Amino acid sequence: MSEKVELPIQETRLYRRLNIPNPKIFEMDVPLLLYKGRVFKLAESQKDESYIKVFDSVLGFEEAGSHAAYEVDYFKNEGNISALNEAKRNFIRSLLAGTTREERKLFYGLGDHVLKKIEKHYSDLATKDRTMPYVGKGQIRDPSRSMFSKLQSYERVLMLDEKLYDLLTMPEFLEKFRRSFEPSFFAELQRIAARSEPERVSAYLTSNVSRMNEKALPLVRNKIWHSKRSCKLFFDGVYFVPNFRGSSMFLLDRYKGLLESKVKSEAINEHLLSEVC
Amino acid sequence: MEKKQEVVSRLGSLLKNIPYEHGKEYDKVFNLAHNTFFQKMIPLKIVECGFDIETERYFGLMIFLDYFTNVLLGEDRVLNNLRSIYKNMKEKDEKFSVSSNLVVLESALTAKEFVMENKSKIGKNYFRECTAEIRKRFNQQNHVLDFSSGSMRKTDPYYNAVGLMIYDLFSDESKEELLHVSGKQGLKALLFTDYASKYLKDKNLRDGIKESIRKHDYFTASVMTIDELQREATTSLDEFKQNSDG
Repeated sequence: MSEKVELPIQETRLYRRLNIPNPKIFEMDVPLLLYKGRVFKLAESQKDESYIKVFDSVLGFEEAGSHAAYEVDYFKNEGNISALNEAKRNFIRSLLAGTTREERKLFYGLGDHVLKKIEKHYSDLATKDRTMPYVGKGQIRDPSRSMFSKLQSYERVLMLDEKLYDLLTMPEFLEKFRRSFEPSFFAELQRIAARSEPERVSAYLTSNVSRMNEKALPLVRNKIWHSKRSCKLFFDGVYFVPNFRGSSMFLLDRYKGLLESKVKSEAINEHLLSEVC
Repeated sequence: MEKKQEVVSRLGSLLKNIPYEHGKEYDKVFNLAHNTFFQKMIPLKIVECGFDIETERYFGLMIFLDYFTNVLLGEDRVLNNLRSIYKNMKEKDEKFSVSSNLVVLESALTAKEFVMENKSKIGKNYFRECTAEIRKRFNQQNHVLDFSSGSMRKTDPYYNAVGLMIYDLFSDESKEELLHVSGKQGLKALLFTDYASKYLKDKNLRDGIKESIRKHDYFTASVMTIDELQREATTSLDEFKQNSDG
């Protein structure tokens, strides 16, 4: 039988945002590709087979660490520690503000209950994303199990000066236009798109214009391959189409939320421990 | 080659450090670099002008029209005129798009019309006589940057690539001058002058414009250009083309 326990504090205070430092990837001020838990910076020249073609420039990618390593650093970095401790103190102060001594005693006995509530709230936050159904199908896993990896549908994104682009494979991108093609042609197109260069997919589309809604042709072709100045992104052996999702501040907000959950849990544990001692 | 990279890097730095004009992303037609170009450089009313422009000089003409409309004239009349021409021509030729010759000619005629309407108030050198008013519009969104300041955001490969896109919009003669551009409107004034001044017949005036550019005074160069352009404007596109060829 589950026991309903009334908290001696205002529950909304558990979820109030904290003033904590931004994660490092949001302070780097260079375009970043976030992929399978790893972080890649855009480089002036190609370092390996991966590249992005922007106008006439062919740029490379340079590995710049993993989310897991950045998170370890986030909580150990001396520059962050004082801000995080201040956030913890403020959080506990806010939680206990206006409570009586008796209520606080009750709160100390509810430590695990409070921690579970925080964990539940933030795991809901991590998985709640209806904005982009084309990514995050579960094929890609972050082996390092970072907090970032709990955020669904950010497994492969490009961050460009506060803008966020999903990296769709060509078949995923074409899926958006499924109804513009004859079914048999679409199946063949998907097969070709999965293993061909964008130029070939574009040429295939152009030569089969009678098998699609004519109006869709420029829309599809402009994103895949239109001319020698089209954008082309090749990474990890796959051609991707950058597809605008929105402001990267939305990702920052959610990611900071997850980091906050850890700060809050630590704050409660440390406070309870200090009370016991 | 080194000089080119220096210029491109300066343009990249300029682009990265100026604020966005708007946040609209055209994700169906334009790619990453195009969107950054629009968001940083071109107000929405120009991007969505309602007529097709020749693809070869599309991005340069966007800057041209923006500078002419929002700085030199301070009103949208040329956009309405071009939209009307485009609509009529499109009925006859489905593939019609507005050429750079037509953009410059229509701008010149619009400026002439504007001067005629206002000539009771001011003289024929309308634009030179109204410098203060035009300068005010110029300064409003210039975003002059101090490139020696340590507080500027450092450019990156992506912005340099978009910088290269802008570099390619200029004639060889103007490309080196880009090393001295320190604000958004200055860049647009230089491009406007670059595109329009070649249509001018008066050699002395062309030399005067070049002199202003040598002094890195792109604002004055653009004002001199539009004044002379409207004075020389004719309604014949053929004659106009000959001027530009000559």
